[in-house]
Amino acid sequence: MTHLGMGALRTRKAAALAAVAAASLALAACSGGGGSTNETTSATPGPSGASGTITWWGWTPDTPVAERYIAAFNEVYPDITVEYTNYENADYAPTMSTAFQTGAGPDIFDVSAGGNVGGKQLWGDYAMDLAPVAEEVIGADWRDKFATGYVDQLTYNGSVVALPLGGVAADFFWINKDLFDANGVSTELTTYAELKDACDTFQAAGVQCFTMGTNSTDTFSTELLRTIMSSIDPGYYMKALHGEASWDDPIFIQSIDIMRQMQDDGIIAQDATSIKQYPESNNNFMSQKAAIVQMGTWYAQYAAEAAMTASMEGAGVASPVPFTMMPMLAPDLVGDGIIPAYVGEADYGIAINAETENVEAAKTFVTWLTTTMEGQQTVANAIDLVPALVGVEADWENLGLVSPDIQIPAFKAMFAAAAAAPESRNLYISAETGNAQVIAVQQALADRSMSSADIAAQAEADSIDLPVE
Amino acid sequence: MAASVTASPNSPLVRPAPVKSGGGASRGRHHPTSPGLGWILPGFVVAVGLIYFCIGYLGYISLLPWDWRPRRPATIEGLDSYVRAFDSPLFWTSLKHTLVFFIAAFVVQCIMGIIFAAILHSKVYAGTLFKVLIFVPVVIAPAIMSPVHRRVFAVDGPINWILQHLGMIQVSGTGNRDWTGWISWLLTHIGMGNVTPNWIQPSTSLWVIIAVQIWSSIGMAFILFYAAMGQIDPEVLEAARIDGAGGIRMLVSVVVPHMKPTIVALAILNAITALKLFDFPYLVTAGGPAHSSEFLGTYIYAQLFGVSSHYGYAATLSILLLILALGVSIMMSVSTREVKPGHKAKGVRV
Repeated sequence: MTHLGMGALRTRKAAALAAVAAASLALAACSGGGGSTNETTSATPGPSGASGTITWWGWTPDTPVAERYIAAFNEVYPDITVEYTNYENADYAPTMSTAFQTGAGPDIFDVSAGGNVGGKQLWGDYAMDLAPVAEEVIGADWRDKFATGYVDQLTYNGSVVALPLGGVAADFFWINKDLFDANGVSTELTTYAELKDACDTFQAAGVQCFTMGTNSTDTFSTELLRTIMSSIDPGYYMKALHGEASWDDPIFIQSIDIMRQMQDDGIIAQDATSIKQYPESNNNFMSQKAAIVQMGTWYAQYAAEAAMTASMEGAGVASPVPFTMMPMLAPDLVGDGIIPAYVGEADYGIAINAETENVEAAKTFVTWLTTTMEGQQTVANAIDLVPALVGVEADWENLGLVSPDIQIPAFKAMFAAAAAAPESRNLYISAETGNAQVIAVQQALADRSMSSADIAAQAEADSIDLPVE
Repeated sequence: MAASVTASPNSPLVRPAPVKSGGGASRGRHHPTSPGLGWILPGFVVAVGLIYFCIGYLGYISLLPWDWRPRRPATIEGLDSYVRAFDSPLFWTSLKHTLVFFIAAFVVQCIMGIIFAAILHSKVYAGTLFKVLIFVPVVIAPAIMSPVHRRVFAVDGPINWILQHLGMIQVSGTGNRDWTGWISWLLTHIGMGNVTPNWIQPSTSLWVIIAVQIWSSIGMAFILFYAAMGQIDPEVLEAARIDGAGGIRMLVSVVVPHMKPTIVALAILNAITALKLFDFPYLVTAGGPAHSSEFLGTYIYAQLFGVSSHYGYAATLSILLLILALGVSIMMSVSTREVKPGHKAKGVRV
C-alpha cells in the first residue's frame, strides 16, 4: 500500500484550514528563495495558453498538501483551476471504477506503481501515454531527469500512464520522542529485548507501546510481517514475490511466530485486530496515546508544527502541543543481527484521463508539478514524498519542524535512504498476494486455533505473484 | 379520471370505466386489448429498460472471464466463473454466515420482540418512553452507529470494562486482557480455549455482527408484534383466562399462534436483510478478521473493488445472489399463502 489518503485528515478539514493557510504562507516564502535548487526553476514551461478547470482525484496527498501544490501552481498559471478531491483508500477504487464506467471520471488522477488502491494495473487502462508529453516538455532525455526506476515503475503495457510525483519508502518505525524521553526510554531500540523493555515501561506508564491496525483490507499491517521476514533473510520477500521461494517457507512461518510473540509480550497491542491503521492507529499516535507506529516516509509531513497541530486536532486532541516525531529503524526482531533496510519505489504519479476534454490544462498542471524544478520544490517542501526529479531537496530550514536541530539530520538521512532503497515496496505485489498477506496477519493475531504453518500454507495458496518485469 | 378508477376498485357498484383521455386511452377505444398501455408505459420502460436490462447485462458479464475488467477483451467463457464460485470456500463460507445470521437474528428478534410487546401491552410505567427507546435504533443509520459499535466491542471498550469489573476479565502486566479463572476453565472445556476477550476475532466477529444487527432491528420486530397483539380479539384472551390460562400459557398458546402471519413477515424481512447484508459487516469488522464475518454482500464488494476489480466474478456472485433471493422469495410467498386462511379466521380481511 502506498501512502495514503490519511483518513483522519479527511475528517478534519476545517481544523486543517488554519494550518494550511499558515503552511502555505511559510512555504510560499521558502519556495521563492533560499534553496539552491530554486535557481533552476526557470526550467521548461508547460504547454502555454491553457486555461479552464480540471478535476484531480487521489487518495493522496492530504487535501492541505494538495492545496499547497495547487496554490503554487496558480502563481504561475492563474488561469487554470484545479479542483482536488481526496478519497479514503477504501473509497478510491469504488469511486474511480464507477466514474470511469459512466464517463464521469476526473481529468487527472493518482496512479501508483502497485498495490490495491491506485495500482497502475487497475487504472492504467484509462490513462493517456505521457511519454510524448514529457519528451515535448523536457526533452529527449526526459527519463534521466527522474529518479532511477520511477518512470519504469509507472509504465504499464508499454505506456507511461503517469508522471512520477515522488517516491516513498517504508519498513521502519516512527516514534514519539517526547514520550520516549519522558519515560526514560532510549530512542535507539536495536533488539527485541530492548523493544520489549521499552513496551513494559510504556505499559507501566499507561502509554500504548506500538499501535497497529489490521482490521482492513489495506496492506499496512503486512509491513511489519515483511520487516520481520527481512530480519530473517533480507532477500526472501522479493524471491517469494518473483516465485523463487514459496510463502509457506519456514521464514514466513517463523515470521508469524515472531509476530504472535510480539502480541503475547504486549509489544503489539491487543486491539490490533479490531482497529484500522487509518484512522485509529494514526490517531493513537497523533494523540500521544501510543509511542510507536509503523509508517513510511510520508509520515514526515506531520513533523512540521502546523501540520502536526492539525493532525492532533483531527485525532481528538483539544489543545494540541506538537511533539517531536522521529523515524527509527526497526529493531533486530529475530536476534540474528540483521536490521531490515528500507523498501521503496515511486509512490504515485499523476495520470491524465485519456478521455479528458481539458487536455492542455491537464498537461500543464501535471508537467509543472512533476517535471519543473519549482513544482518539485513544492513537492519536496511538503516532505510527503522523495522528490521524483533528481537534484531537488526540501528547504529544510524553513519547514517549521518542531525540533529542527535533531529532525533535519534524521529526515535527511531518512530521505537519502529512501531514495536508495534496494527493494521495491509494492511494485510486484499483486492484489491477491497483498490480500493473502493481510489475511495471514489477521489470522496470526486473531486466530490462535490456526498454526503458523497453516497460515503460511493458506497464504501460499491464495497468492498470485506477478511475473518478474 | 384517475380518481374514478381508484376510488373503490373492489366495489361491485363501480364498473370499470373506459379511459376518457390520453393517447393510450384514445387508442384503447379502438383496440380493446391494450387500454392501459399508455399509462403503464413509463413505468414499464423504467422497469424493463433499467432494471431488467441491468440484470441481463450482469448476466452477460458473468459469462466473461472471471477477472475481466472494462476495456479488456470480452470473450465469453461460459460458466467458468460459476464453477469458480462453487469451488470457492469463501463463497460457501459467506452463505453459511448468511444462514447463521438469518436464524440467529430471526429467533432472537421473535423472542425479544414478543416479550417486549407483551410487557408493553400491560400497563407499564413510562411505557411510551420504553417504546421510543426500543424503536430508536431502527431509525439510526448503520454508518452512524458503526463507529460506536466498533468502540463498544473494542478490547478496551465498555463491554470488556464491565466484564473486567465483574471479575471475568483480568489485565496482565503486558496490558493484554484475558479471562479469569472459571471463565477460562469453561472456555477451555468447551473447546474455545483460544478465545480471548477480543471480540473482533474469527471466533466471535460473526456474533458481533449478529448482535449489532439485532440491536438495530429489534425495534421493528417489537412494533410488528405490538401491532399484531393489538389485533387479537379481547374475547379470545378473556376466554382463555376464564379457562384458567396463566400469563405465560396465554402468551404461548393464544397470543403467539395468532401472530403467525407477523412471524412469517418478520422471517421474510430477515431473509432479505441477511441476503443483502453489507453495511454492518463492512463498517464494523470489514468482513474479517480473515473473512470470519464475510457475507455475500461484502464478498461481492471485495471482488469488485477491494482486490483488483474482478468484474466477471463479482457479476457471477451477484447473479447467484439474485437466484438465491428469488428462491427465498418464492419459498416465503408459498409460506405466506399457507398462513392466510388462519389470518382471515381472526377477522382480518386479506
